[in-house]
Amino acid sequence: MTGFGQHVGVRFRERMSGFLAKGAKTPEDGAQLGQGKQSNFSFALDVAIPSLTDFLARQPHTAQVAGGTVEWAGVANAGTAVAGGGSIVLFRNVAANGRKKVCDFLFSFRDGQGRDWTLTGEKRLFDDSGFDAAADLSTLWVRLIDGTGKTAAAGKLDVSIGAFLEEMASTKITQASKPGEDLAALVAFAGFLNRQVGQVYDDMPRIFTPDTSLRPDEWRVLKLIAVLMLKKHLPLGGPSADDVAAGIETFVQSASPADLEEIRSRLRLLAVLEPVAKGLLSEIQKLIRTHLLDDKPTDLRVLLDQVHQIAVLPYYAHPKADALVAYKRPTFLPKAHLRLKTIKTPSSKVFDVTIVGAGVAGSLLAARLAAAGKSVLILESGPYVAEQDISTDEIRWTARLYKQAGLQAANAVGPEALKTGPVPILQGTCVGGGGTVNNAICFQMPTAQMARWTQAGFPYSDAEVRRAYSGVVTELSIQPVPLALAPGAHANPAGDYLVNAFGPVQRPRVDAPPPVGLSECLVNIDDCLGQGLCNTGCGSERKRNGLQVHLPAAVQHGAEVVANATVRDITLAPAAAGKPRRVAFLSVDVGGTVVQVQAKEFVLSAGAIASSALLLKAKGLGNVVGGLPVGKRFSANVGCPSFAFFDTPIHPRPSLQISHAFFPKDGSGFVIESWFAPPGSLAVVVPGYFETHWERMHAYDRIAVAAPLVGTEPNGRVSVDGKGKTRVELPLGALEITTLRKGVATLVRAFLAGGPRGKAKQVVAGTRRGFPIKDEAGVLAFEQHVQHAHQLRLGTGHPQGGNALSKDLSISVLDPEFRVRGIENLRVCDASAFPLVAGVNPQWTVMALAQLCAEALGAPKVP
Amino acid sequence: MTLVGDDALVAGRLGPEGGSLALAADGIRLEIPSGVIDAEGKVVSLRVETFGDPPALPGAEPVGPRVTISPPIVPPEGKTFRVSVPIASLPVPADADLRLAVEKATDVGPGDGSGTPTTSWDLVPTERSGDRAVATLFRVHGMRLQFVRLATTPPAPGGSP
Repeated sequence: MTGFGQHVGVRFRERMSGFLAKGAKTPEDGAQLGQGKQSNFSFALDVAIPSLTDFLARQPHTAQVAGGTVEWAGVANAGTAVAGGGSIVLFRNVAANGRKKVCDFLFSFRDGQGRDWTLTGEKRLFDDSGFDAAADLSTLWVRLIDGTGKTAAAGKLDVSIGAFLEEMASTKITQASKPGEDLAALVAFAGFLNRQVGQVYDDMPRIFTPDTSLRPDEWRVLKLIAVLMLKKHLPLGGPSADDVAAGIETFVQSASPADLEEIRSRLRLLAVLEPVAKGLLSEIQKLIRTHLLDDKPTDLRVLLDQVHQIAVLPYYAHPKADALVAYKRPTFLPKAHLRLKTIKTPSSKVFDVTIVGAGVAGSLLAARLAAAGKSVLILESGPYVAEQDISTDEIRWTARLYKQAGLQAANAVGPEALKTGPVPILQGTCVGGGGTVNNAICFQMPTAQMARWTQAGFPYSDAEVRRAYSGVVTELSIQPVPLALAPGAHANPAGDYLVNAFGPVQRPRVDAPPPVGLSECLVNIDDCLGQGLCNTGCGSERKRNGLQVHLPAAVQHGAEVVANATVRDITLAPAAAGKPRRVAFLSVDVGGTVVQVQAKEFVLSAGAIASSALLLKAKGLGNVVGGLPVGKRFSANVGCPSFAFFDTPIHPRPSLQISHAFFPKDGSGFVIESWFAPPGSLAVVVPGYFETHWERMHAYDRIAVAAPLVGTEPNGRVSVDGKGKTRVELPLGALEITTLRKGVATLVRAFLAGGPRGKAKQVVAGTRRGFPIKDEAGVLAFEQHVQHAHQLRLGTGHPQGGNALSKDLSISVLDPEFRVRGIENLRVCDASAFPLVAGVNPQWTVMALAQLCAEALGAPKVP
Repeated sequence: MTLVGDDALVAGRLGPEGGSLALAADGIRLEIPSGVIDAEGKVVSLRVETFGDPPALPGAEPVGPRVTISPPIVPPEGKTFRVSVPIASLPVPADADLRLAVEKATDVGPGDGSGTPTTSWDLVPTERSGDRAVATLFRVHGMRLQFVRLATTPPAPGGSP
């Protein structure tokens, strides 16, 4: 089983250049004559492997030259096309034990005078004393043959390290059409390359087994990442390269098996670098720095950015880094010691309601419907982790509790990857969902935004939504931050440094939208210890969330909770004349076994991305949803954290992560929230690289952080490609960029104005590299500098839209009772139902919709 | 098309009409019949290759240069290739028992991590055609070939007596 079909292929680029000496008969003679001379010949080939299955099975392994160009000084101008019929034979064995291999290059071209030329070349992979893998792989011994068959020139071509890295990043899988085919093919191809080179060179690392433990050779690759991506000369006493490798291993081991493959595929690409790095470390470092510090977006830069994050998270999350950054790691004190009763397989019965997703919406729905006497089943694709079992290990819990181990991103591929740039999307995937890993912030939607929803056909009135908001205030202890804190616990002090510009901190009401100006946040937290680890799960169990409130209530009323349960398909009952369609059952994968789940009503509460993807992927829905705009109108609150640096510590101890918010005025397009994070998570967001990143992180306790959040226009889209993979596009246009720029500028000015406890000496605006600002001139320079979204370091934890709940049939997926139009017993209730972005933290609004949906399903109305 | 190289290498792009590649006028020659190569054409090379291990065949003495034909070519049914050498160019008597040793990959390949990459050599008979010894190949493996002279008395099966 290869995991990919016969038709799946591979394409990559191969570029080389060097000096070819006319008249030389052998490449060695040509190389001798070319010593010290500038390159006079180069080629760039498009290499195709039409069927990877055939390529791997048949030897010698042969790829086609599918196109490309040649340049030969004085003979063939730049852009001279390569003719058809060329080939590259990869890793032809010339020793019976496989310790010597040759790659044969063969192609032809016609110069400007109509003369035909043929290039023959060999890469000689011999594990001898004179060359190592780096030199052997990057050297092509070449002869050029004229139209009569005679050698006319010869010499040696090389691939630069830059071109080599570009080639790695250029590798593409073609013709994949089923879920997972492209990844399986990439794994097979990378495995082939690695194994072939490994047969020649004893010390080649191998990262191709599916097990979760890393072997010594794999460790070397992880250590290489640490060496390349962190500052030079790591200090003694702090984490070592070994510690970083151990952290990545923890990350890999903690992720779900599906996520593991994504992570491993990235590590596999890096494995190719390891042997090349020998003796070329400084060149590779130089190259990586050049790429990362360049503003031009490229595939390689996107890859290197991800690798940078893979290195800095485990470095700064390691306890040895605590002292370096003056971080006082807290100790969790579980309060309720609550362990939810979950089951492995759903009971065999027809449930009244089956809810897909045990997040904020699903948990509340389950509690309300179970309390109303309905038999309820909750299916969650993520794991169940009791909050009391969560530790302060950011790496482990990021990998375990977040979707795609925290690596999910919009614009990850395609044109938007280079235009807007990837935008990380953090979403909890676990029992409790986003409520387990969020900051427990509760904002009612501002009145102006609610009015925009009404214009977009949202069927519930302002008063009905406010009533639904109020329905959870008491049970979730929604209250202003200072009232939520335990004695001696601390809020994020950043708000104290903003009051000169934003005015005094106001106390918000729990029965109204947030006031204009600077205010404390409302949170669904009680007796908070201010330990600052909300985003990797509160091991002290102080959030009043799904895990602590709604799910235990549902279970108490007989609801069944099944973790690690993935819905594979939704099947409709046969059509009956004159009657609306109904869902008959869900096909649910529980631990590798697919069971059918039957219910009278089904609700998808899988989250803003997953619910759309589920509707789009479900083959059993046939064409019923085909005419609906499922996945369209996707949007998000996109944040751009910016960092203010002070002379004195402002974080002498951990504190609640988000404590203050600033609303400029209704409809201004952005809000500003304070934020802080433990060192590992902060390191992922801090702008800059290498020494600059290091210096900024080493001001950890002297940094205040806040971020403008901008609600995007509904121009995004969740889609499912031909291979069954979910893709998220979040284009950011001129309006969003202008608003983000304005939001950052407003924040920077406020930090520079400061408060009674001081003014920032410098603010670093959240561009990728960080834009240092000391005064108003700097703010203006920033506003001029930022013209494209990809210049900013953006992220979101608030994906929304995709299944608009609207009376406007041109945009509507859901009817006023949350039903997927055309299907009587299938509803969607989560942030995907938003017809427009909320513009503020969506958690409370999701709960309000869940309350309204529960009422539509027969739960009693809250007063 | 007829291409003649400079003793060590010859290469060129052949079309559906086929053609021949010879290392030299009196060197090893590859003949590709018409109908083997498609309309797009194929770039083919024949070259002397000095690196790597020689054929390890008991009772067979390599004679003449070791060459590689690249890339692999599988002809349509009924088509064959001819590889020939002037007998006088080899250090052998005119009546020597010449065979063409053809290298084949026996690497089990990727997908099986335990696979050991190995090569083996098949001996293809030759016949006389004028002053040349000619071997007929049913496919080009894309690997190495070398004419060998068989000892008059082949070794006994299972090893030396």
